[in-house]
Amino acid sequence: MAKESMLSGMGNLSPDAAKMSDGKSRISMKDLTALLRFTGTSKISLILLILAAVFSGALQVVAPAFLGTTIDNMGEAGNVDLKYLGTRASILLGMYLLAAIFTWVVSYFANVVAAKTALEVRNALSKKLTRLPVSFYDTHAQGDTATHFINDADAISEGMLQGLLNLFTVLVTILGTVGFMVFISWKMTLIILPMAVLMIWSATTIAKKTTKYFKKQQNLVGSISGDVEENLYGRKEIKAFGCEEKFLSSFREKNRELEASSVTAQFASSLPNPVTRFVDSTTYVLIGALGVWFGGLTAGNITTFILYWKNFSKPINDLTNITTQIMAAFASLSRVFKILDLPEETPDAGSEAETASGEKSANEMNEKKSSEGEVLFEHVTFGYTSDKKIFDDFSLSVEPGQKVAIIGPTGCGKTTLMNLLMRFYEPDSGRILIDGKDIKDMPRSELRRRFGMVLQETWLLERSIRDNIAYGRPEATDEEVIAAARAARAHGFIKRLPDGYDTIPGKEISLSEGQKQLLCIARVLLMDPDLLILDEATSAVDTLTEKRIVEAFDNMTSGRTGFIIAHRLSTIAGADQVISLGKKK
Amino acid sequence: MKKYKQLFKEFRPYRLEFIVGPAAKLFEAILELFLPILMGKIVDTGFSSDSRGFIVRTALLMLGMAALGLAAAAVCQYCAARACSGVGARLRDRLLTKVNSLSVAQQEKCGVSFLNVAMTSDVNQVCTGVSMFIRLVFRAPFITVGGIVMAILLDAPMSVVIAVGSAMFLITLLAIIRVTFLRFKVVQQKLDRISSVVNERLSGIRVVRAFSREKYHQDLTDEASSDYAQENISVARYSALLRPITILIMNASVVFVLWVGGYRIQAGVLTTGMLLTFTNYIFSIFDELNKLGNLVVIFSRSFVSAERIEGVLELEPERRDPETGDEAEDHDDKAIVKWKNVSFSYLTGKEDSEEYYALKDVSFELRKGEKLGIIGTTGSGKSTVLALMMRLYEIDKGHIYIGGKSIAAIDDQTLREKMAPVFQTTALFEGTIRENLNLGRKTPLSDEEFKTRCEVAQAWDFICEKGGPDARVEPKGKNFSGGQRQRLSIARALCTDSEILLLDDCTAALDKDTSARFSAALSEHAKTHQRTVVEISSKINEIADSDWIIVLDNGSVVGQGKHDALLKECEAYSRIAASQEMGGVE
Repeated sequence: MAKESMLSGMGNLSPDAAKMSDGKSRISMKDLTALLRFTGTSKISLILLILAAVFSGALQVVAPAFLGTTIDNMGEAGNVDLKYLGTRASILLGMYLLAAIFTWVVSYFANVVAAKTALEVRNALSKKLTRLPVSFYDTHAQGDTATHFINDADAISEGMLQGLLNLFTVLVTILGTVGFMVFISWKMTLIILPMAVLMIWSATTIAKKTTKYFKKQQNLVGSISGDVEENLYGRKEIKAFGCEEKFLSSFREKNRELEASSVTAQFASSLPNPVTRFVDSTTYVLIGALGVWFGGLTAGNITTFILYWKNFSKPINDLTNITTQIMAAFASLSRVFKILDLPEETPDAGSEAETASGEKSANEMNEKKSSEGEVLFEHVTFGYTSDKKIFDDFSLSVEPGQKVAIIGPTGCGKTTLMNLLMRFYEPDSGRILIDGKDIKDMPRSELRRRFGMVLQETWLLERSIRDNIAYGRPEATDEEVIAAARAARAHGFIKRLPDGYDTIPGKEISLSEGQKQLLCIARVLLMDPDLLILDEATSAVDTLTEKRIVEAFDNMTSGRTGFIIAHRLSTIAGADQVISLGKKK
Repeated sequence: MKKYKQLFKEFRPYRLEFIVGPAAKLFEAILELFLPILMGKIVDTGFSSDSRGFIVRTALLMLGMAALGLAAAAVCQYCAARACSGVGARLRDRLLTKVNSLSVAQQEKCGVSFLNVAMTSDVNQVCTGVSMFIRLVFRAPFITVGGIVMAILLDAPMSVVIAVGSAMFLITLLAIIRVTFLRFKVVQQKLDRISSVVNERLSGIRVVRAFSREKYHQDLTDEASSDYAQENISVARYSALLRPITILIMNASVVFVLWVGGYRIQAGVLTTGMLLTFTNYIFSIFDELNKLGNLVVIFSRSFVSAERIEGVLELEPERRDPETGDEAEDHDDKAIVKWKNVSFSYLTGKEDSEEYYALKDVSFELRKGEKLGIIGTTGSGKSTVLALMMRLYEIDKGHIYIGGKSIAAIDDQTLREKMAPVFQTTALFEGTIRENLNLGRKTPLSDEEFKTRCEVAQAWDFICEKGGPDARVEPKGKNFSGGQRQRLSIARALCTDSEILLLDDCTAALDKDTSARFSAALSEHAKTHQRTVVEISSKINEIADSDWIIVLDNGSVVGQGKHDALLKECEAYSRIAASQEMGGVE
């Protein structure tokens, strides 16, 4: 019966808690098995934890009864059996000590399992990221994906922790407590159980009512934060156009509104505590008064019942918090699985682990390949979505050593060419051949090693300049790195930096866009690729810097097949072939 | 507490709440302390036909007290809600007012994200602190001390058990919290590490794939994740102690009450009902101490936030005394803008070492209705010219005169009314197009004039497409393309009545045709309205028609004059011109 009332209590609460998390209202078996996937490594910890939880729960049930009988049996004033009392007190202390040790085991291992679960989730995500196709990254905001790593993994871990800390102990305690209570006095049990239900009911009803106020407050907080952000973002304009007052007055209006709504929300949300305390006190009175009145309970019995009431009220008080966290954990879990269940990049033909072969071919790069760099597009059709074709039966033949310029307005698919060449995306039909070999049949890493790619956005690691240039070949010697920097016209400015090649860009010193681009070129030059792709590499820099970059690039393209994607004509001077792509709607 | 002088000023209006709230809470606590005594009495009396009336009366009295306690608690919670909401609103107001009064240099020195955090989450943290202070700070110590005092009144030796137990409980609690709180800072750092590694990996996905370094980044991520897990487990070694030890101390105290109580009962001083009273005191006291532990954590966070807020509130708006004396005025009244040997460095304290100068010894002058062109590579100091003219920063050396008066002698409002800028990175605000464009006006322009000026900015066509001047502008102008945002900000400057227009690379996102049409319309507009134009650009064709051109390189003027002369004489200028000969296509 107690179990039933507990569950119905939770049933009342869960839709509410779920709304707060992510519209997930029920935990299914599927979710639980999904969770088990991540706890596999901590089986022993889990078994220890459950055993300890059962024992500590059992002790929490037995000890109060033992205490109660001690009070009743030790005798009246004048003839207290002190020896009996001493033994019983020592046994009680022993029980509590044991309970403490078991509780510690539960707490510690719950933390361990939770931390390991988060680690497993992160490792699974990390592995997945390596295997997801580039299209995933193009269609998912970076912030969202990072959130899975940071917040969702932590939410799963936190929910796990709360669940493990409470679930088994509370279950054993409540079942045991109800059993013992019925045994001591079924009448008192009938009084206590409705009070427990009342306590759950009052806490959840208030929580439910306050959600409304909280939402309103939350909206206003969001709106005010937006104002603050806008004020900071447009601070130069606000000063320049002298409209500080205009902004302040609209902010003040919202601020006042927030204050009013916050009073209601804060007040309502702080009520459950005193209300449950009131129910708590009432129960004490009932146990005492009714216990003496009807039950003919002894002082010892009453002590036992009060301790049992504590076994109830503590988990009830924590209930809201714990269920919210567990619901949030499962919502996070389903978000994580949405990523983990995504289709992966097709495995490379004839190679096992792509990454392993990647490391290998890094070493092979030192040996100059005798390849020529002929590129053929044969009837290539491709679109990012099936209804919008970027390329329709596109053919192109590039001879070894040729320089191909690709121009056209924004959105015409210039970058798509690079995406296909590098196999970031696969063509819908048709094929691309390099030196007569279909790129589909080459391991991706091998294909990509043959290309040197410079993009518009300069991407550098927060590591030394040396490490950045040697990104593709970490084993390169300092001489090789410097030679690459020289060829990229970057050696001059690197030398002038405070720590030279050990300078960490971004952290110690901020480099200009042009300087960063030269580092990216050096990074490519060190790889000594057969083919080059320059994708809008100069659109973010001024024309003089552009000239330097183009010079460096020319230096690099001599003898190599090169693709230059640009919207400025100046960048593509001297191309052997110019392909103009029109805007397709 | 002097440390938080500015902050506490905002607490003062809530004096009443700060007194009534805790007082109500104390009242509730006092009532609560009497409950265990009455309970003990009921149990001791036991059931008999004589005691029936007593039990009913006592039980009703207890229930009445509990209800009264609930009412008192509600009063307290209401006071807490009022004070915490009010303090929050006042702090936000003062902070934003303060931040707006700071100079751009000061704002940048604090860091925009820091100011944002101070105004939002720090304020919330302080509010939580205020609310918890009113609700809990007095209750916990009062119940503890009160419980012990009551125990002394009942039986002194028994109170020793309670006092010792409470002290042990409190010390253990605070020690464990302290250790784990410090360790959590390390945990947070490890989490930040995961975040930076993952973000790096995500943002560079194409390069990572191109260089086949997936494994390297996967290893970095896994290492960071595993470090974080290890750190969490090592913190758990301490934090897992909290629950068992505190519960053990509580239970042990109950057992000792029983044990010692047995001797006291033997001595005839105590009754078994009073044992129950003591046990209940232990529960109440330890409950409160537990809350106190949480409070320590909440408060230490609030104090960190309070310190940051105080830091912002203590900032004094940077203002030099208005310049007076000979240099305050320039008697060459033909020039509307005049720069005399101006030098400036963004780094304060390094004004004396020339290598840190963003601008070095810049001089020029400009008459009413003329156009000045400024050209140079990225990082040559072009945008700094604009910022200094608006007095967003204070110059380190030299003088800038507007209309014959040093800008240091003109008050900010008057100065900024004279100039209308178009910044390189434009900010548009949430609202309507009309509101955005009238930003610098007290009275809105007539519809006709509004349209004309939008047409000069080449903005009218797309404004109509979006639904006219009253169409919505989303936050940060998200619903407009980069080129449209740029044209709106040009229109915003044109819509003012300012004599001087300051344009900073404002056509970068426009295609060649549009920017050519704009150039022509602008010179026409400047002529009819007698407006002086300062245009900063990286494109030669934008400024070739200027009355005067300044060529900047690395903060120094490497050439100035008219287009034709510069082509011949200035190497830097001719190099730029050569690099742009091909022209540009979008």
